[in-house]
Amino acid sequence: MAAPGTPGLFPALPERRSERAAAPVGQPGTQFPHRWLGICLPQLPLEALGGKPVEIPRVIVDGEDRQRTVRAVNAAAWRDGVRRGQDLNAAQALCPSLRAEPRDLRRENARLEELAAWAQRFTPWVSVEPPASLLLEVRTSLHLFGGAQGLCREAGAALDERGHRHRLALAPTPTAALWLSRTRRTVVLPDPEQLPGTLGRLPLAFLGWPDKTVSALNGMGVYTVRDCLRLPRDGFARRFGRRYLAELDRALGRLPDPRPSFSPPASFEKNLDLPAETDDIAQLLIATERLLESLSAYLVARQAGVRRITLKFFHGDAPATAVQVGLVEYCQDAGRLLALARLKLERVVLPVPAIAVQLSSGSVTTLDSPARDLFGPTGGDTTTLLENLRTRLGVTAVYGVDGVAEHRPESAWRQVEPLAETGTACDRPAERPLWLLGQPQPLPVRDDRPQYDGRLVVERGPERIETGWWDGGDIVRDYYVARDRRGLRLWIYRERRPPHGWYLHGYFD
Amino acid sequence: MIRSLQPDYAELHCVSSFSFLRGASQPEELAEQAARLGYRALAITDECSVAGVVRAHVAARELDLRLIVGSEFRLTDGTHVVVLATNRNGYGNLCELITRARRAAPKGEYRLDRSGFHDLDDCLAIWLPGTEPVADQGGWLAAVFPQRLWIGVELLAGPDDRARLQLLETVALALRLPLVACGDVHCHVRGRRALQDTVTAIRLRQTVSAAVASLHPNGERHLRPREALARVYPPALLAQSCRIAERCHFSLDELRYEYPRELVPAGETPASHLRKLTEAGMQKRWPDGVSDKVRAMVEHELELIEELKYEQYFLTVHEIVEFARGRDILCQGRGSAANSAVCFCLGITEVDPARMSMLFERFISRERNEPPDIDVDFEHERREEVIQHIYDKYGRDRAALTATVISYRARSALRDVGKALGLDGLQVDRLARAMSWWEGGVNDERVREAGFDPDSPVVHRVLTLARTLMGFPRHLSQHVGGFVISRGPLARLVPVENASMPDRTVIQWDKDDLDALGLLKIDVLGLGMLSAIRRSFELIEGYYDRPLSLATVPAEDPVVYDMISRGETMGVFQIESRAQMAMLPRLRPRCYYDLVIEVAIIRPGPIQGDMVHPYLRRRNGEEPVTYPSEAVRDVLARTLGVPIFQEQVMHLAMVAAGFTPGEADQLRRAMAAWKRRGGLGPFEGRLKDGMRERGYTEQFADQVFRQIEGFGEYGFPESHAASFALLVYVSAWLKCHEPAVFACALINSQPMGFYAPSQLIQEARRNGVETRPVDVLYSNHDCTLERGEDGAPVIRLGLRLAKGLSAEGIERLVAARRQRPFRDVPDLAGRAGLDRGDLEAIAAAGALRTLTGNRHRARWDVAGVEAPLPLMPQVEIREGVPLLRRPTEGEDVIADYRSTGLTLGRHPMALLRGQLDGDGAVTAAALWELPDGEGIATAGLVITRQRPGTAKGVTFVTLEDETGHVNLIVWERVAQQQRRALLGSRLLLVRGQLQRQGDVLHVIARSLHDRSELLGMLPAVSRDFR
Repeated sequence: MAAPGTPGLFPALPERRSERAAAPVGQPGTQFPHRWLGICLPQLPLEALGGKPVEIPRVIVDGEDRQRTVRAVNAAAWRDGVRRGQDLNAAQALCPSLRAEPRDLRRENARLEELAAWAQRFTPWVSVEPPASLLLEVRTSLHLFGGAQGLCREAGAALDERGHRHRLALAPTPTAALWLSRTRRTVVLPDPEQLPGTLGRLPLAFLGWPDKTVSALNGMGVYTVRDCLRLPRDGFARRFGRRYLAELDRALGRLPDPRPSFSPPASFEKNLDLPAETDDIAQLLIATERLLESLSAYLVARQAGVRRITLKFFHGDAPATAVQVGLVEYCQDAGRLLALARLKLERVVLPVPAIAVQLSSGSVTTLDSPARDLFGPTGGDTTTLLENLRTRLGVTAVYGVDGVAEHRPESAWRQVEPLAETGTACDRPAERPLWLLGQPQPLPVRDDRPQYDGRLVVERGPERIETGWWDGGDIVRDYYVARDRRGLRLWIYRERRPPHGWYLHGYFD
Repeated sequence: MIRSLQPDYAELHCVSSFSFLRGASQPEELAEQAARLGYRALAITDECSVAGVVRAHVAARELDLRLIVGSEFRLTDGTHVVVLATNRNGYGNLCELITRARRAAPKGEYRLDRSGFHDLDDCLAIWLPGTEPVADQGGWLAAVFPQRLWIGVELLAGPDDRARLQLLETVALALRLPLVACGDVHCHVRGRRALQDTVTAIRLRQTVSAAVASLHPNGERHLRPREALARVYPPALLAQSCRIAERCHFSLDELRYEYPRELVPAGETPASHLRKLTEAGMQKRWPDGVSDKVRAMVEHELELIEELKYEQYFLTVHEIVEFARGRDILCQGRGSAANSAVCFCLGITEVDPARMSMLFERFISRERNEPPDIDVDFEHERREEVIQHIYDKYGRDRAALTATVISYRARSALRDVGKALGLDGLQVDRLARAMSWWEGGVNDERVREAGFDPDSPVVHRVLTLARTLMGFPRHLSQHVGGFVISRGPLARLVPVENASMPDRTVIQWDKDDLDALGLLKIDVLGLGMLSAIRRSFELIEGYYDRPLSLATVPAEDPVVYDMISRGETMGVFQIESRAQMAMLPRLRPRCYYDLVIEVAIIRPGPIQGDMVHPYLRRRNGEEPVTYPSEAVRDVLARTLGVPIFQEQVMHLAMVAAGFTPGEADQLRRAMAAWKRRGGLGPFEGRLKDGMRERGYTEQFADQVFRQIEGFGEYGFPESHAASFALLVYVSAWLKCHEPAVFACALINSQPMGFYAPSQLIQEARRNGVETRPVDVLYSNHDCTLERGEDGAPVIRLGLRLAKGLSAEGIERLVAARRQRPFRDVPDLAGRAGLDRGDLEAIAAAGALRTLTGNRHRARWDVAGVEAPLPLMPQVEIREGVPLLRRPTEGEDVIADYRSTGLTLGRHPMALLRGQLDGDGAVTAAALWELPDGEGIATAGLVITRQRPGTAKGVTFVTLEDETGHVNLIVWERVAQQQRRALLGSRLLLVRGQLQRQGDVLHVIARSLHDRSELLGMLPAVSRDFR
């Protein structure tokens, strides 16, 4: 298209014919010091949720209520004509048996970070590019994998193995690698000279720009990167923002394009060799204390805490002995950790003497503030007592009790964490026994009257409870308060469904 | 004291499904159960409402059960009380109390404190104390209801019923109040417990398991057998309930409607005034004198009207119609009112009784004792003026809209029940979709298809509960235009509450309730075609300076009938659907009365019911026209011996079987409902006996009876057809003689009718009308007429077609242009004050073509408009000229469709024709050249997909290409197999068999192929390849 001389255009790009002939703009070596591998994971929303790609049509959707859009489509749904970007209603009309699941961004990100950590085997410089891409700087690693093709093959095979659909592109700038990796086939573009030509043909839809911007440009007949580059710079920036102009410049290597390097989530792990083989608890505790002190320092520096630590004792040939210590709340205090570890260790019998100790933390969580309670330490003694009890009896053996607003006696209470807030739902008028039997106990019947160590005298009732149909636990009972010969007050009921048995359900006194 | 095993009892505290999402039984179910259990009476006491009492009343009347009208209230201070009406005055007081409480709160809620609790003479009250009775509440109520207050004792197998009774006895003693037994009834049988829990959860917008604290602990709140009550309550308390019931002798049958009085001038009676107006109308309608026949009809009608005291009703409607006329709002009565010569004289209807065979009994009958029903259509865009007039004239306390009860249907029931039982939003959607996919109703097969197991407990519960919930009322909404107007305050007749629209009020009853009680309503309806016709008249007057009105459109123009007979009726009132167009060449109407028949029989019912054919065969001379007697000939001659209208069936019953007019009308009603209610029952015998007595053969009697049965559902009143046929003719005349005007007016009256602007414009262009595109330099809001080179009107498309362009933006644009023409885009944007959305809409519509160029350039320019800064002069921005490609023809066509829904360029199918040659696709026009039965392929854009309930399993699809439309018939088997192509295609290629009968052409689809991907190639189709 012959254009009159227009001021302020992008520097003219070489037309395709003359790409080779034209002198490169600057020295590639200095201008393009890196090679970037872009990895795009188009099915990440599905893959992050797990589940095999079986023959059930499945999609992941974005959005709320009536405004749900299909984000990812599995093969079975694809065959029925379901496509990304469709309205869920439309998709379900095409495929009535379609399973739709909401998107889980947190799991997608977690999976992406996992992959980033894994990708560090190719290069130390990995950058996470949400929502579904990774960038690897691979210039120096290329020769290790037999060049670009080899690297792509290897990375591709490894991703296949991990069950990820993927698209790869190798390019001299990270933005270009990212863009090109979104196209259908693998692009390997080690030569910076080819960059403008290849990018120029790229439709704008691959740039990850907002739909609004892309459709505005399409509406002006601007479909590709090349079409964009033909527009006046000032006019383009004024209409669409400097940001996209800069992105084009970065893609073409005209602006620097720094990318943060991914560092895996922190957790603490440290080994300590024992001075000599030993199974002396005192010796082991000294080593443990040292490790805990450095853990504490690590946590304090990060204003973080842990709820679980693992101690591993190595024994030379025999398999290591692992001891886990769990806490009720996040903690960074070496003293408290040591006290708990001591309780545990006292009950551990090592099969053979240990030669080394390893301390590893579970996930490290940043604490809002060192102390959880505004008014001083949380009932220090109770907490410690609880932890001690739990350490000895087992975590599930110690719990709190809370009322639940339910008519069914069985469901009217629940176990809670010790010290949890309770008592919000207990304003019922009915009197309930303090001791409720875990299982109602059948009562013998004589002359149509229930017996409990003899005759019972009914004091109150019937109170009819018939509810719970929604979870399959429907009960239909008439409850009575009755007194036995010794004056013990009992809570009994008669089953209203055949065979109408009588049961004891609790004691009042 | 001896305890009777089955003591007498009256339930005085019972809510129905009209305490929305609280009551779990319908009013009828409650009445039936109360009667079955031998209750002495049943009070329906919905919460601040009497919306369910009419249904209960009708059911109770048949069961001979005494029904008490009452209502339950919860005051802002927590006081819980039931109020019962003892007589008409008490009922009026109760209605006013409900109205006060409802009007003080947003739609669907109420608000009542002690200050609102006054003027309750002739009402009894039952105080329902809380767990801890507050003596102050009882004391206050005792003062409001001296000697008329009881304490309700509700023993529902709670934690300690005995203690509860003792407590209330103490309170009663202290306050010197009597006690009475009540049941706090929420459903008619214990088995509704699960539904009651479910609706509670739905009301609280929670799942059942989360709402558990709000659920009742057991299912005692139902109508309990009397022996069960005897075990729970002391006999005195039960006896007390009957004593209270004795004092409530009000019945809804006592309600009498009183028409507004003010329309009768001093010195006149309603009858004399109506006579005067009718005489004056006769003068106007027949300036040359009235025929004896008409005179006799008018006299007969006036006599009956006076006898039944309906004068004021006619005067009320007359006043409304006169108002509309004064404002130049076109209007016309429809329905059975067109059977009335008086209505014609009063200008309510337009059908000349001299031209019709009328049956006034269809409209008003002595035996029916039911108010007449006059429905008047107004221009749909100006109906609001009429409504406001009614409010102004009668005041808000005397006029209100009828309610419409919005009820649960399969889909909504599944959705709400599913959510309440904890299915997530996506699952609920999937289930609801499966249910409503092809037909209504909850069906296990569909559940399985949607990937649910109908036998799994949760799904089973959802389905069972949803089935029960279907048909339950969900909330009250407003009827489109049914007005109730009364002489005194309406709120003493029925409570009035707020509607969702501001400044609208609705009564608590719907039209069935009003019918059941014989109360009058006036339907003020909107009709799009009236708007289009008035617009046409205005355009004609503006263009030719020639006034035109409904009355002056030249009658019986043969050219108009020629056009109709060719089936070229797109846009014409009532006969524009595909099926109707296909029938017209076979019916070939030649006069007004043919149109009346057309309107009645070219409808889905008669077409499916094989009704058309006997008439058609006789009309085409393929079957002899015979009559069994002269009397029958009189009735059926105008429809060639085939009964087509309801009036004819009534007439037939009268002349052939000796029915009285009133009996004949009962027969008509039975006909309309016989499929639903089952059987014409006693009418069959009476009809056949009557005919036999009059010497008709057994065979003829059978035949008549079968005809009546067969046509019952879709029988159409002749009067109604006659009113509509007038509009059919006028609109056809406009289309025939002024196609540009007609298309213009139809588009400006959108949304209405079957066809979108694109089809209307294509049709106009086929008729030789020139059309010009939307352009900011020339277009107004609406489509307008410009003078063409040869003097013929040319359509200039209006800015209203530009999607996303605001009406205010258009208004400012047109005003700014009137000052001076626009210089460039910034000038346009600045002076018209257009925001970015408006500017983009204008560019997208291609409306800047003259000002700045093609769409690409227009969008670039528009995107560059800077928001003006206050206090700063508009800065001139100088920037480089962009290198933008010209849009291809395909791009322009797509953009045209996207923005304005139509294109003046080539049809997309014309651009893609080359791509379809390989498939052997034939154009719509070329199909007509092929013989019946030929196997063919054709392709086009999918315009409509219909699956009428009447056509079992068939889907109708209309395809459009550059030469016209093709009608597809897709049988169920093909539809199932090729669902994806059927539902997903925008561009469909179909192979099948050509079916051609005379002037009707269909393609029976054998295979469907989605070729929508071709549309993606459109942008690449360039003008250069033309």
